[in-house]
Amino acid sequence: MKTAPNTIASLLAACIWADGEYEEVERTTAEEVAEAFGLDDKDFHKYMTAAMVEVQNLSPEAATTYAVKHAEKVDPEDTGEVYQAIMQMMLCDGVLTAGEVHNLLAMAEALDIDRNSAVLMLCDMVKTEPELEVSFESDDEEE
Amino acid sequence: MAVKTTAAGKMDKRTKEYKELKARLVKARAAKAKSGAKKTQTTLKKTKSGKVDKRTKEGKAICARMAKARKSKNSLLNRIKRLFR
Repeated sequence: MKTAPNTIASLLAACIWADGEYEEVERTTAEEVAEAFGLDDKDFHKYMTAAMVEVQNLSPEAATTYAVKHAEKVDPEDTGEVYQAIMQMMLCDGVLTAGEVHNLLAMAEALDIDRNSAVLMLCDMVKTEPELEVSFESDDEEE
Repeated sequence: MAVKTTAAGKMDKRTKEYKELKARLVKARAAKAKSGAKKTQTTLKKTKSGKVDKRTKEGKAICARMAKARKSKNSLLNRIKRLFR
């Protein structure tokens, strides 16, 4: 992996920002990402914490700009793997919503991954994670 | 207790033993009903569609367990290996 760990952490933090909190499920997923990329777990946790501090008070527009800025730093050879990590983080709550699909496709575009490949990778993930729930409800209509 | 059976191998319902057995069953059922065995009720908050609301404490605990299960299965690493390596 040629991409710097803090760049990956920043992208993951931008995904978590949409949910607002860095909770146990996100921490576990961050550990899984570190393991999959062969990164030091403790160092990666530090990068994640620092990135969460950076994103927590950003406006939606500023968070998008932040994500795009860091996506540009991803090595072209790593974009697919980084996108897989982003999907893992964005879907760690076990539900795939329309809003998340929108954010994932925006992330794919920022990583210069074509839309067709991004959709196929998402389909592949849904297929291989049977507990993942696909929700057609609007993100703010569920209560 | 030797229970008399019919030619077909079933219990002979006319015997004293069967009648005693039946009486005990009725008594046991009555006792169970009296103890008011409650149905197990889930406290999980559901969404409109009837699915578990993952934004609640209980929902989050479920998600955390699922994430740990994914991690233990190396779900991300396996996908990356299959697709890119």
